[in-house]
Amino acid sequence: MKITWGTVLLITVCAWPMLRVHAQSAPKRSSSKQLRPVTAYISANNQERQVTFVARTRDSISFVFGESPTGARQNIAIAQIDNVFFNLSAIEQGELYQAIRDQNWVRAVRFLSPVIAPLLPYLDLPDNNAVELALSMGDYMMRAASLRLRNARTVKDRETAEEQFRRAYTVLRHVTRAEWSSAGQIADLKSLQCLLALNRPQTARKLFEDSVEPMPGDRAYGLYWLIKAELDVQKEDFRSAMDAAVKSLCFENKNIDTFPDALMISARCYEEFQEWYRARDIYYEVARIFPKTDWSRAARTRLQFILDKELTKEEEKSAVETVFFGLKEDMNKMVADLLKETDKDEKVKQPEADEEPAEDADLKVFE
Amino acid sequence: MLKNGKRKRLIVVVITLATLWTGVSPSFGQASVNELFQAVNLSMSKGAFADAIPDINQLIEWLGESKDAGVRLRMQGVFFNLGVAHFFLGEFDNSQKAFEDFKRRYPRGVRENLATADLFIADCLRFKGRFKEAIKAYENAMRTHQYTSILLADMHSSIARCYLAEGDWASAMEPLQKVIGLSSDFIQYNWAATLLVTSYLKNLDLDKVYPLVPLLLQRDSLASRSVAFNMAALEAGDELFATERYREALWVHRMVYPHDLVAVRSEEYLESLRHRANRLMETGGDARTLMRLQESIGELEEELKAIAQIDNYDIELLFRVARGYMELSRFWESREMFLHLHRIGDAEMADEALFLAFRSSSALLPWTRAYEIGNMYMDKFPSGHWFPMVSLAMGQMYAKELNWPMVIEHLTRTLEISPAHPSAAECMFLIGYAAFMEEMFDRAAGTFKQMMALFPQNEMIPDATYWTAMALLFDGKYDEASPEFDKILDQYSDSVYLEDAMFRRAVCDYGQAQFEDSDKRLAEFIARYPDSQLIGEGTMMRGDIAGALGNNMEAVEFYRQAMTHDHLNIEHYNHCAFQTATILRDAEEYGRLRAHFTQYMERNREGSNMPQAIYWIGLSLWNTGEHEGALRFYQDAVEKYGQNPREIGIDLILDEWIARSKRGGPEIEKKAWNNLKVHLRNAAGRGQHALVLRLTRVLLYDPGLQQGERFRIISNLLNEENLEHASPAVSQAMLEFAIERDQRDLATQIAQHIIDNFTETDYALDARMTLANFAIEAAKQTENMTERDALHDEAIRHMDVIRSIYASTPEAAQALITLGWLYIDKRDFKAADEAFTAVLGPPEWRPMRPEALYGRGEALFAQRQFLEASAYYERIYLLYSHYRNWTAKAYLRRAECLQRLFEYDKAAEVLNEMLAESDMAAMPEGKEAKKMLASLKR
Repeated sequence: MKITWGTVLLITVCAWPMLRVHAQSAPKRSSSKQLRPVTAYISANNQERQVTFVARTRDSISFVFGESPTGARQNIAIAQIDNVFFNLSAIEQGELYQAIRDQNWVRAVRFLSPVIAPLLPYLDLPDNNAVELALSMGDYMMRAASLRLRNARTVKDRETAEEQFRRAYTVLRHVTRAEWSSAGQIADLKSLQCLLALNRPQTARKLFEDSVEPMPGDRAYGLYWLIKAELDVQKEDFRSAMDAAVKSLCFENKNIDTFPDALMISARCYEEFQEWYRARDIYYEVARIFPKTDWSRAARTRLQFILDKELTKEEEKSAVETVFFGLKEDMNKMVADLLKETDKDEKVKQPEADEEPAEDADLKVFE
Repeated sequence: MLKNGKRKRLIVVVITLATLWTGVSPSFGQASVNELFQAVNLSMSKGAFADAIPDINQLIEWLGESKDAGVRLRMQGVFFNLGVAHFFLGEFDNSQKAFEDFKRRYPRGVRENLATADLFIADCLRFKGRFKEAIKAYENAMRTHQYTSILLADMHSSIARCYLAEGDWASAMEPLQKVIGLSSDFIQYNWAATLLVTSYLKNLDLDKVYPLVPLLLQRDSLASRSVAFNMAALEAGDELFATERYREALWVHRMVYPHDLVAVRSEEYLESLRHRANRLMETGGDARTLMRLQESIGELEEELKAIAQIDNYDIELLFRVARGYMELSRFWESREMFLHLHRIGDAEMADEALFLAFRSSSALLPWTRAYEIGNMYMDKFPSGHWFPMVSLAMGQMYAKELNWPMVIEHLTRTLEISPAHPSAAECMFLIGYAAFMEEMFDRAAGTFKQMMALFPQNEMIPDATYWTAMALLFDGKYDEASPEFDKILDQYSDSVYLEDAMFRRAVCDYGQAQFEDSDKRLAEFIARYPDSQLIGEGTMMRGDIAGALGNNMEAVEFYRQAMTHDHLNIEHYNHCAFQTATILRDAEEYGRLRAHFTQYMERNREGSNMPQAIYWIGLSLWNTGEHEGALRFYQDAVEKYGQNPREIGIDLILDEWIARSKRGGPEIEKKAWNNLKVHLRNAAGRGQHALVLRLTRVLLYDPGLQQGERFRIISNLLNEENLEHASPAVSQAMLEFAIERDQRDLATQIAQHIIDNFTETDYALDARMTLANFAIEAAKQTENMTERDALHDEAIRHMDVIRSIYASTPEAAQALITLGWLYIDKRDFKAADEAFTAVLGPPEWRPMRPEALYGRGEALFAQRQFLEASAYYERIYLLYSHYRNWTAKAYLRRAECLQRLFEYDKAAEVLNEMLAESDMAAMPEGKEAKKMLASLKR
């Protein structure tokens, strides 16, 4: 049973003094761009109105009062807006979460894109509620592209994945315009990961150098150092990569978007340093604490390699003379036991049939 | 968490909700039945439950007992809405009663309403704190009716809440798992996952925890706000630690959200939930969604209160995680975290954390960061608890890297900062040892003695005694070293250095020319330690002693015996070989000499001097009359080793070959040169470029060589492409010919090649001298001051190398003289004087002294210090009068000084003295002297 109530908004048209109304007049500072109509509540000076956005310039929005895009057009300077509330209820939340839980990223994007795509031109509007979801959508698009790239067997597969990365990049660049939100900086950094995937490391490095280094505790901290580590790995400076990865994993270990990746890079660096015992320990850790994920599958592959090559067969000599704990674990046995566990879910995840994104109209809207 | 407080909160929330809607509700006076129905519907749709209830009760009073089917149907919604209205006003007794009344009146009513009524009844029981009954009611409802998955998830979460409200985590797990399976709402799903993990953590059921970890690491995860979760994780981590499951302890501790973050996230999330709830009330929506939001808001408010009551555990948690990394040998991670803890912790923590960061870093090579951190510690905590350990460890690390200057610098600084360092003895010992390794023997001995005086009971005293003795020994203070070694032999017989000390004691005697005593000690040593690695050296020394005592053949026996010991180092090995050679040559025992070096060449130890051995064999052959054989032997050796341009000795053999071939008589000489030409053609045919160049250079000494042929050969040699294959002698010949032909660029190129490729040979010395002279000449020809300075600098650079690397050679003296003149040109008189003064020391440089003294005079003359300058000129003609050129110059210059000092009579006296020497009067200086004398007379 569903009990509903009508919308109770007691704000009258006459109580809307903060808007500078220029009916039907074109913006002065730059040419206006016609956009798909979008309904939103905008607040200015603690008053709120339902409007429909129809066009914008760099500094102002053209809108019509109410839910219809027809009627007398008004303009408001973006600087005057306090916050914007878009109606996101059309997103099938249940389906979306199910797709996320299934790690079906293309499907997740499909649930988001019809609602989020028209909002992309407005993400710079202050305190709007679409930024986080737009960031998530860009992130899911990247994940879908990564998965496809990882499993690419043909040139076409690779090209498809690259196309997905390009689209993700476009979305993320839109989000970077939300300078008022930490999501903007996150998107900025994630877009560099797209560039890396598109084999444009020099551009990524240049843009990264322009990024502001976040402080510990900042939302972007872990991602910033993760990307630094990825850039360093790309140029095979593994000591610097390790330094960066360690910053990420030590001080941002509550972020699923960065923590496992930072661990994997640190393990890779340990491999490069020929410190096989440490690499083994970290791969084991990833396989154990992130079971049934892409990270776990990748970690198990490396563990199998280390085991096959007998790189940790000899007992490790203690590096510190006085070991505080005196660990008694037989890590090699633990690794062997882990790898023996038959778990069909740990098999490499392949893109599902409905994950074919190349022809997906929703994704093309970002081009 | 979900006990009475929560129930009251929900009541408040619902009342607030109702009040909000009431504010916009219309009011009615007397009304008809239809109007009442409309009013009830309107109030309910707007959430004006308090207004709806009187109208509902009025309708029930009027129509509730009606038997009319139509009325009964119409009243079904009214009875239902009464329960709803009471529910949202927080009147759970009335609500429950109303729903039960509804069910009694309409047992076959609308199925959806009946299902919802049962759900509301269960909710009422829950909010009234009757959890067991509520659970039964939910379960009955689910058995009786069919609900959507959303409502089922809602009901299971309600059952879980009932169990949790009673602290029954075990029973809560099943409904929570069902929520996970059913829910499609992120908040609800994450809520259930976090509570499940909390429960698993309480049971240390970690395998069930890990699959849910990704959910916990979400930005809006309940884990980031839940006191229950974070406390459970902290306790689980501690318990794992206590049961020695350290790796998992680290993983679980790492899941714990920082205290401050929990508070901030809770506040942020509370704000966002309130915003969403308000928005939902404004825009309308599902009532149960609103109810869930309000429940979450209530829970968050409780969490915030709980957080405020918990002591901040952040630092302690970080420390545990950092420590975990360190003990798992994850030193990169532990270093980073300890450095962070050092920055944020209190004074005590900052001290310990920086120490542990250093300790972590010391496990990572290279040690650059470790030294940085260690120095940071020493700067920040000079009185710190860990100062002794850090400072000593750094010293030991430098020692391990054989970075002796840093050992000295670091530990000296350490003792300056902390004179009462608990490991001062160890520090001093290391300083002494490092000084010894740096050949600062005086300092080494001084430091060891100081250490022994300050810490007479220290367990390192025997070692310090040994190294004191060694420092004195290597400093040539054999008389002082002897008693120190005696101490080891007499007092520290269990010292690890006993064997070495016994040997060194013999060396001390040897150093003091007490050969018999030394030999006796060496014999005793060899007898006592027949397996010692020093046996070879001891035997060699016995050979030296025998030689010194004139027992040459006995010496040869010792040397040859010494050479059989594998531990004899190559320098000693060669010493034995060539000392033997000298003795056997002097004794004209050429057969033995040849056999000796044949054996030497067969053994061919790494570092053996093969060209020298070849020379000696050739000499033996020559002196036993096998002249042709000797020359052939040399040629064969040249062919064998000559292709490598870096075998310097081959050029020496070739020079020896040239000399010997001339001494063998015309027939042998002719044959030898013909053979050489055959070898040259063969080498060219084999493309042995280096050997060809070597033999070509030799060919220039062929007495039968025509001038035109010589010119052609030199022209062929002067090709820069030859440099790659040119041996040092070939390179030097090329250099000489290039200079001779004034090919400056090529000469410069060749000289640089020699410097780069044969850096520490005498060939490089000539090359540097050449380049220096080129630079000086070029400097004279340029008008450009900057260019001139650069050329002077280049010349100085080469001269500096010559004077320091080839310090005892005549070229070094010449370099110093040239430097002196250069510095005068640059008006750096102090440096000039130093350079000239340096020449005056070594007796073998005596021939250079007049010029050096003249240079010192000139440096003073240029500074108008005529009186002082005149003294140097005077010394020249008084002490070195047989150097006539310099004597003449000195007379003239001294007279000039006296003239400048207005001492005209004295000046004339000097000039007359000079001109009295007939040879000097005839010199150019003599003519000048006469002119000056004439002007003085005027």
